[in-house]
Amino acid sequence: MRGWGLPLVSAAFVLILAEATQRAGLLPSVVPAPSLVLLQAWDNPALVSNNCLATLGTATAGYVVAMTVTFAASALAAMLYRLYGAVYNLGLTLHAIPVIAATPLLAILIGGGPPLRVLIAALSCQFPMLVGMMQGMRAADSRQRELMHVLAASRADTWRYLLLPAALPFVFAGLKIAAPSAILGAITAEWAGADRGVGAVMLNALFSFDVAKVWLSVLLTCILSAGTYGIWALAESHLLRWKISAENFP
Amino acid sequence: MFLRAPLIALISIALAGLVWQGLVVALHVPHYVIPAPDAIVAAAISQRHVLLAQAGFTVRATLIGLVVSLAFALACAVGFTRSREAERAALPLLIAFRSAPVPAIAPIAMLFLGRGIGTSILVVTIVSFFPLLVNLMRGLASVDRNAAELFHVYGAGFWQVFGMLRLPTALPFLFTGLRIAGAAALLGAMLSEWITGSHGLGNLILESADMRETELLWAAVLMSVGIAMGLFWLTATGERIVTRGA
Repeated sequence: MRGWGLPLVSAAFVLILAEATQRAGLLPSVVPAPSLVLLQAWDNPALVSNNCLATLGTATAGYVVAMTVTFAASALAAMLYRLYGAVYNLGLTLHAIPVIAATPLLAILIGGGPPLRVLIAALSCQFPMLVGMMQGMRAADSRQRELMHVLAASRADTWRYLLLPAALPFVFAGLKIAAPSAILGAITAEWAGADRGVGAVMLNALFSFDVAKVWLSVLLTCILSAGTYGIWALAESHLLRWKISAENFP
Repeated sequence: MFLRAPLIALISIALAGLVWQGLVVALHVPHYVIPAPDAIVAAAISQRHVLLAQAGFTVRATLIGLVVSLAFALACAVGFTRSREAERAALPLLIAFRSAPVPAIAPIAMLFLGRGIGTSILVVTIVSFFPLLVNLMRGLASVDRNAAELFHVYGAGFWQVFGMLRLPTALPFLFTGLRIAGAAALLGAMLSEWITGSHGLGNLILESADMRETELLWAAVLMSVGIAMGLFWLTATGERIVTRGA
C-alpha cells in the first residue's frame, strides 16, 4: 500500500484545487466543481446503478463470448499446430477492424439491438485474450514435458501439474488487459444508439449540455474500466501467489 | 520505386473486388446486406461531393492534430533530455493522459470546444502524443557513445549535439512513432466525429447506416480504410527518403 500515498495525495490536491477555483469562478463553465458531479450521482442513484448495470451486463456478456471463442480457438491451435498462424492472423485481422467501421455494418446484418452491443464488446476485447491463451498453451518447456513423460505422469496429471500452472500467468495477463477493452467497446457501441448504458447517458448529456452529467458518465467509464482491471489483478495476485513468491526467490 | 507498394495494393484490391462482385451476383445477396462493388463505386461517384467534403474534414483534423502533437512531443522530448527532473515531474501526468481512453476524452473535449473541428483536433493530439513522445525519447537517447564522446571532446554545445547528433539518430524512431500514431489518430478523429455528430467521415458512416444507405456506408468505410493506408504509405515513404539521405 505504500506506493499509493503520493498519487492519492496529488489526486486529492487536484480535486480540492478544482473545487476551490470553480467556487471562485475562475474555471470555465464546462468544468464543474467535483462536488457537483458527486451530488449528481448522490441525487440519482437509480441513474448510476441502472446504466452501469446495463453497460456492465453488455460488457460481461461480450467478455464471456470472447473468452469462450478464444479458448476454443487457442485449444484448436494448440492441438493442430498447423492452424496456429491462421488462428493468430484471424484474431489480428478482427482486431484491426475499427469499431466505427464494424458497428454500422454489423447493425445492418444483425440489427441494432443488444446482440450487436455484445458482439462489439466481444470483438474489442478478443485479441489480448487470444494472445494470452495461445502463449499460455505453449508455455510449458519441452524438457518439463519430457520429465512428466519420464515420470510416467498421466495426461490428467501432466495437465494439472505442468500445463495448467505454466499457462495461467499468460492467460491471466490476457484476461486482465482485455477487461477494460470490453467495457470501452460496450460504451462505444452504446454511442451508436442505445436507450440504456453509460454511453447512452454520455450522449444524452452531451446533447442537452448537462455538464455535470457528462463528467459523471466519464467518471463512471473510468471507474468501470479500471475496476474490471483491478478485479482481475486482485484475482491474479491471490491465485498466482506461488508464481509471485517464486519470482521473488533469489 | 516508391510506387510499387501502392501498385501491388491496387492490383490485390481489384482482385478482391472482382471476387466480391462475383460472389454477390452469384449468391443473390440483397444489396441492403452487402452491396456489390459496382453499386458502391456508383454511389461513391454520384455522392462524391458529400464523400470528399467529409473525408477532407477528417483528413484535415487528423493531419493538424498530428502536427500539433508532434510539436508538443518534440518540445517535451527536448525538455526531458535537457533535465531529468523535468522528466520525473511530468511523466506521471503524461501517463495519466495516456491511460485515459477515447470514450472518456472525447466528451470532455466536446464540452470545451463544441461540435466543430477543434474537438477532433484535440482528441487526435492527445491520442497520438504518447507514441510520438515515447519513440522520440528512445531515439534521442540512443546516440552512439563514441560519437557523443567526440562531440564532447570538440566542446559542442547542447543544441549542436542535438541538431547534429541526437535528432538524426532519432529520425527512424520518429517515423516508427508516426506510423503508430497515424492509425490511432485517424481512429480518434472518427470516434470524436461520431460523438460530436456534425461533420466528418465518422459521422457520415453513422448517418448512412441510420438511413440504410448501404452503398454510401460501404463507400465511406472503404474511404476510411484508404485514408489509413495512405497515411501509412506516406510515413513509410517519408522514412525511406529521409533515412536514405542519412
